[in-house]
Amino acid sequence: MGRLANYVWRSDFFPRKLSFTREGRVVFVVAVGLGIAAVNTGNNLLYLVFGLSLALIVISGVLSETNLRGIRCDPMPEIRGTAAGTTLVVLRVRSVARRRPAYSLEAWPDVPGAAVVPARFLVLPPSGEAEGVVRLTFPRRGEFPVRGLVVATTFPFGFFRKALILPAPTRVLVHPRVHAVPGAEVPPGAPGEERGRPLPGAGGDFLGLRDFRPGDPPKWIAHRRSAGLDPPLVREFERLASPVIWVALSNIVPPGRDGDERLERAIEEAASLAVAAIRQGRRVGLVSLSGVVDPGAGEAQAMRLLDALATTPALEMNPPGVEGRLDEFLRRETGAEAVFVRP
Amino acid sequence: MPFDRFHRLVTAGTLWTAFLALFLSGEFGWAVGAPAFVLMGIGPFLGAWAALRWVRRSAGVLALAVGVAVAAWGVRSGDYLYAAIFYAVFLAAWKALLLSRAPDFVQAYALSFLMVIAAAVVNPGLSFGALLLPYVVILTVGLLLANLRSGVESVLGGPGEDPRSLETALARRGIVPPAFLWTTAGITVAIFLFSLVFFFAIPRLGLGFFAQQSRRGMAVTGFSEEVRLGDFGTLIEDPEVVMRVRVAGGAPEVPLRMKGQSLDQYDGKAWHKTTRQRRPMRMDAKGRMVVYPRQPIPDDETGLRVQEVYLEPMAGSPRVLFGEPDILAFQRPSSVMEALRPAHWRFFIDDAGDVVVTGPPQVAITYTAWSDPRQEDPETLRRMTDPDPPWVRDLWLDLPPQKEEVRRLADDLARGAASRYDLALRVESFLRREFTYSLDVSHGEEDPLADFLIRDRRGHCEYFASAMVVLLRLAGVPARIVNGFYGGVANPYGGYVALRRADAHSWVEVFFPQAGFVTFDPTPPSALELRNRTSWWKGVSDALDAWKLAWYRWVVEYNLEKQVSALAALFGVRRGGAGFGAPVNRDDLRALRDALRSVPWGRWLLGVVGTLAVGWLVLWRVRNRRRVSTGLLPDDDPVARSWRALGAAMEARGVRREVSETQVEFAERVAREVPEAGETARQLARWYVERAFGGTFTPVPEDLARHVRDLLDHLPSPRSRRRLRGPRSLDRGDHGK
Amino acid sequence: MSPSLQQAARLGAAVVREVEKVFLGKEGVVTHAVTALLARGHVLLEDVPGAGKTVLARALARATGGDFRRIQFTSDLLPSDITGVSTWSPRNETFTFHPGPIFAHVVLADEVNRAGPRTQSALLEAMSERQVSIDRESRPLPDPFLVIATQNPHEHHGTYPLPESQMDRFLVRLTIGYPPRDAERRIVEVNGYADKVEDLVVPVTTPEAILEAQRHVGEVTIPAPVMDYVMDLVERTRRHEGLELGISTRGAVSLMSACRARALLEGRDFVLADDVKAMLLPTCAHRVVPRGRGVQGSLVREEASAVLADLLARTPVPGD
Repeated sequence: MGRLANYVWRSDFFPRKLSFTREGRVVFVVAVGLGIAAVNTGNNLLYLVFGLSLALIVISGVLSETNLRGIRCDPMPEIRGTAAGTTLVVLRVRSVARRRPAYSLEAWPDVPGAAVVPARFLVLPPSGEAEGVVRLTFPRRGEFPVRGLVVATTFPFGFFRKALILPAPTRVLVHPRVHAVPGAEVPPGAPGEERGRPLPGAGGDFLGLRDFRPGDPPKWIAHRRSAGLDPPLVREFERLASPVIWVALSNIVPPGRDGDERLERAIEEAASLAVAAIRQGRRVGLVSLSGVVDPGAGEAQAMRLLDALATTPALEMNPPGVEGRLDEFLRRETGAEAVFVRP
Repeated sequence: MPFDRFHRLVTAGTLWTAFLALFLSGEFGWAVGAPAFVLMGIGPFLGAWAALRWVRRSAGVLALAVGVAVAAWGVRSGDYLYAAIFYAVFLAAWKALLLSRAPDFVQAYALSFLMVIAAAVVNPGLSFGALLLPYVVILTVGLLLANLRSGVESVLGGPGEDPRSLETALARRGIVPPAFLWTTAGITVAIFLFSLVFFFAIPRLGLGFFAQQSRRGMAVTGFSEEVRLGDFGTLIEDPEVVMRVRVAGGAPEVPLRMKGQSLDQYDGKAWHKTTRQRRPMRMDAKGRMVVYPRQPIPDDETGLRVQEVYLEPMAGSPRVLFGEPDILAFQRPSSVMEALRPAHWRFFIDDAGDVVVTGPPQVAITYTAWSDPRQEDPETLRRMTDPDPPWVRDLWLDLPPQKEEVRRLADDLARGAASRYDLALRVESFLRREFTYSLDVSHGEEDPLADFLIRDRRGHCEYFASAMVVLLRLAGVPARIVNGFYGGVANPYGGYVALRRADAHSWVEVFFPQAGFVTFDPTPPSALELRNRTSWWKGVSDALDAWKLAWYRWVVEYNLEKQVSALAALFGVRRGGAGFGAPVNRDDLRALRDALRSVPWGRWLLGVVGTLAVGWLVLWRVRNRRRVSTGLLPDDDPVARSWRALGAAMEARGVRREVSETQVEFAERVAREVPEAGETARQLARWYVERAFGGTFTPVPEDLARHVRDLLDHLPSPRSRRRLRGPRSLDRGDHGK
Repeated sequence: MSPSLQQAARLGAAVVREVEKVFLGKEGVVTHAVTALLARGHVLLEDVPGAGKTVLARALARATGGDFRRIQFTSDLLPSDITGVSTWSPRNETFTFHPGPIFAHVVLADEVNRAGPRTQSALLEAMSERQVSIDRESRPLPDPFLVIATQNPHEHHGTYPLPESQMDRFLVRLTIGYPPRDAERRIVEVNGYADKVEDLVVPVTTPEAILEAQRHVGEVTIPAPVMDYVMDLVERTRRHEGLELGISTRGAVSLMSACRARALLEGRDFVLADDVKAMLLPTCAHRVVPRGRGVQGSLVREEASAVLADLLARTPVPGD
C-alpha cells in the first residue's frame, strides 16, 4: 500500500490543486447566474453569453494546465530559518517546454504553519530558468516538514490559481531567536575580535583544510595538497587559548501556565549565549537532557548548536534530580567553563 | 507600444465594444451615450490621476451615491431593468476613469461583461452578434494583459518597493513576449469555438419562472383592425424587413402576394373589421390548422403552394398570419414546444376567414402556410350567376351614403357589364388606366375617397382598393378590401423573399358564389417600380439581411426543435421539409424516439467508458514507463535527446550499450572505441546522470542538440566489420583485485 | 552540492592522494579503504604477507592525522592485550585503567586468523560497538575509528579463520594483489616504502574533520531508480542458484552506506549505479555463501565474486 501511495503521489496523477481567485469567484457566480437566467428566460443570447463565460472557464483550465506542464524545480537543500524574522529561500525553476513560454508563475515550499510570500516569475522563456526568492516567516523554532514544492499559476485570466505540487524531500530547521548578550565577556588574547571562526594562532593545533577565501594570507596555502584544485586549500590552525565553554540547558517545561513560554525563552537564551561565545572565537559545546553537541568553534559549530536547539524537545516529565545529570556531566568536563540555563 | 498604453487602449476597446452593443439597442439616447463613449474612450488613459488615494476614496462614495439615486429612480418609475442597466453603464464609465492597478482592469472587464449581458437582453439584433466576436477578441487580450500586469505588480509593486520602478517597468515595451500574440490568437479562436459548442449543446428546456421575453421596442407597428385612409403613406418608405418567405420547391419569385386580413366595413373615412367573432381552428390528421374544415387538403399536394414564413414580431395580439391567397392551412413548427407548454400558441379563425395566432407578442414567429393559388378560369367565373347568400350581403355590401358623382361613376361602369367578373375586370382596368399612383397625396378629411375618384385621381393603393370596393358595392357586388404585402426582394443569398414594411399593400377580393372570394388588384403595376427603388448597395443589404435571418434562425430563435432536428439528423431520421424551422411533427418525434431506442445505449455507454478508461490507462502506462523505466528524463530534455542520438550513432558502429552498462561506463567505452566522440560522450553522460539521478540541472548549451548532431555526422564512418560484432568484454570496473 | 559536502569530498580525495604517495599502483584499494573510513566501516585485507598491508594502514593513519596502533595477532594473544587492563593502584586505592592498543583512530590488526576465537571476538565486538567493556565499565573508543584487519587466506595451519557470521562486521573485504610492473619497479628501487611512511605522508586532515565528513555521507541521496536497481540486485542474489545465501538486509544497508561514501568521494551528492557496481563485490562477496562444493577460504570468495560479477553483467541499470 505504501508503495502504491508513493507511486500515486510521485506520478502526475493527483498533485494539482485548484482554487478560485477573487475575480474567478465573481466570474463563476456570474456564469451560474447567467445559466439560471438563460434557462428561465429562454433568451438565446443569454445562452450565448453563458456559453462564452463557460468557454472562458474551460479554456482557463486548459491553458493553466499547459502553462504548468514542463515546469521543473531544482531540489532545495535543507532550509534553515530563524524564528526571529523572515527567512529568504532561493528557488530555481526551469522550463523544459521547447516552444512555449510559461507565464505568471509562483513557487514556494509548502511548509505547514509558516507564512509564505512566494517567489514570482513573470515569464519563463522556453527551456529557460529563473531564480526567485521566497520569504518564509515561522511562528516558532523547531523542525518543520516540507510537504512539497508548490508551483502555481494564475495564467491565463487570473480566475483560478492552479498549483502543481512537486515532491521536495527536505525539511526546515527553524532556529531559536538570538539576541545580543550584553555581558558576554571578551576572551583573553583577542580583544574585540568578532570573527566567526577560530583565529590562526602561531603554533596552534592544525584544525583542518578548507577552501581559500579572499583575504587569507598566501602562506597558509597548502600547495602540495591543492594541486589542481580551484580554489586552493589552505591549512587552518586553531588559535591558542580557546577554552571550552559548555552551555547546559535544562529543557524541562517548568510548572505553571506559562511554562512553555519560559522554556522557549530559556532556549533563546541558550542560543544567544552559545552564539555570542562562538562569535568570540571560543569552543562551545551544548548539553541538554536530550543530547550533547561536542565542543567546537566556528560558524559550522554555531550552526550545529542552533540546529540542536531548534529540535530540542520540551520535556514534560520532571523526575526529581533529573537536572542533576547535567551537573554530573559538567563535573566530568574538567577545565571547561559552563553556563547553566534554566527556564 | 509601451505595455501600459497598449493595455489601456485594449481596455478602452473592451468597454467601447460592450457599450456599443448595448447602445445599438436604442435603449439609450445620445444624452447617455455620448458621455459614456467619451469616458470609456478617454478615461483609461488617465492612469496617473486614478492612482491618487483621495480620488479613489471619493470615487467610491460617488458611485455609491449614484447607485442609491438610480435605485430610487428605478423604484419610482418601476423600470428596474433600465435602472440596473443604466447603473452598470455608469459604473463601467466610472471605472474607466479609475484604472490604476491590475484588479481595476479586471473589474472594468467584469463591468464590460455585465454590459454585454444587458445587451443580450435588450439588443437581440444582428449588431449584437456582430459585436460579440470583436468583444471576445479584445476581452481575451485584455484579460491576458491584466494577468501579466498583475504579475509585474506582484514582483515590483510590493509594499517595500519604489513605486517608480513599477511605473517604469510598465512603460517598457518588451513585457509582452512575441509568442504572446500567437497564444492570444489561439486562445481567442478556442474560446469562440467553445462558446458555440456550449451554445448549441445546452438543452433548451425552458422552465420559464420569469417572463418569456422582455425585449422592448422590437415590434413593427402592425396590422390593426382599422385602416384610416391616408395613414399608409407614413409606412411606405420603411425598408425594414417584416417577413421572409421561402416557397417550397422553387426559386424565390417576386412579386409575392401575402394576404393578411380583410376589412369589411367602410364608414367613409376608414375601414373596420366587424367579424371579430373568432373560434379555434380545427386540426387535420397531419396536425395542420385548416381554414376549410369541410374540404380536406388532398394528400397529393401538386398545384398547392407551401410557404415557410418567418414573421418578425409585430405589435398587437393576437397576431395576423399571412399567406398567399387562397390560404388553406397553417402550421406552427412547434409540436415539441406544444407538448411542453400547452396553449403556447393557439390559432383562431373568424367569419371572414382571417387567421390569427395568440402567443407571446414580441417574439418572431415561424410557420408554414398551405395555399391554393389556382383561380377559377374566367369562363367559369362569368357563368356564375347564383344569388349571393344572405350572410355575404350582410357583411360585404354595406356602404355609407356616397356622393352623386361617385354613384354616377359606378353606374357608368356597371352599365353593359355582361357578368360580375366582367364588371370587376372593368373597374380594375379603369382604375389602373385612368388613375395615377402617388404617395404624395393630400385629400380632404371629409370624403377622401370622393376626392380621389373625382378630383385629382392620384393616390396610393389604399385609395385604389377602397375605390374599387366602393364602386363594386354600389353596383351590388359583394367585395372587400384586403391588407397584406405585395412585392418583395428576392434574396439570392438566403433563397427567400424578403418583404419589407414598404411592401405593405391593399387590394380587393370580390365574392363569387361557389368560387368564393377572387383577388383583384386595381393599383397600377407602376407602383411596384416606384416602390422598388433599388439602391446601389442592394447586394450588400441582401447579404446583410441573409446574415440577419441566419442570426435570428440559428441564434436568437434557436430552440428545442432545432436541437431535436439536429439530433434527428445525427441519427439519420428522415424528416420532410427543411427550412425555417422545418416543423417537427409527431411522426418525426416518433421516428426519432424509435431511433434513439434502437441505439444500444448500454453497449454504447460501456464501449465509450471502456475505451476512455483503457486509453487513459495505456496513456498513463506509456507515460510512466517512459518516465520511470526507460527514460528517466522527459523526452524533450535536451541532454536526454542528445544522449539517445549518441547511443543510436554508436550502435550503428557496433558500440551498443549493454543493459547492465551504466552511462559512465558506456561513455568510457565509447571513448575507447570511437575516440572522436569520447569527450562528448563523457560530458553527456555526466550531464545525464546529474539530471536523471542527481536532480541538478547544470545549464547546457542551447545548441547542444545541433552540436551533437554535427559531431555524430562528421565521425569517421564505421570501420571494419570485425568491430560490428559488438562490445569487447564488459568493463567491470575495479573491484579491488 | 552544498559547500560542506564539497568540503567532505575534497577531504576524501586529499587522503586518497596522500596515501597513494607510498602505496603505488593500487588506486582502487586505497579508494575503497577511504570509502570504508568515510562510511564508518572497517576493512578486511586478505592477501599474502608483503603485499603492503601495513604500509596502507600506516599511511592512512598518518594522512588522517589520527593515532595509529598495530596489533600483531598471535595464538597467545589475550583479549586484554587488545583492550587494556585495569590495575590496582595501592596508593590511590583505586583501579587504574591502562588502555590497550585498540584505543587509536586507526588500528592495524595483523593476521587476525592467528589468534584464538576469544581474542578475535574481543576485536570484533570493539569494532561494532565502538567501545570496550572492561570490569563492567564501557569505555568509548576514539572516533573516527577504523580497523584494518588482515589475514592470509593461504595459511591454514594453526589458524582460526574468522567465522562466516562475523565476516560482515567488515564493511569491505579487499585483496591487494601484486602491483603493476612500473609501480613494483619503483617500490623495489626505493627499497620499499615501509620505513618511509612517516616521512612522505603528512596529515592532510584531522580526526574531527573526518568525523564531519562521515556525518555528511548521510546527506548523499539515493535516487529512486538506483534504489530499485539495488533491490533488483539483492533479490537476484537470493534467487541465484549459485548462492546458498544471498545478500542480507544488513548487507544491503552496508552496501548502500558504502555506495554513499563512494559517491561522496567521487564528488557527487547522489548515488549512481556505478557506485553500486563498484562497491558490490568489496562489500558483499564476503557476505554471501556460495552453494556446496566444500570450498574454503579464499576460494569461497572467488566463487562468490564470480557469481556477483555475473549478476552485475545481467542486471539492467536504470536510465537509457
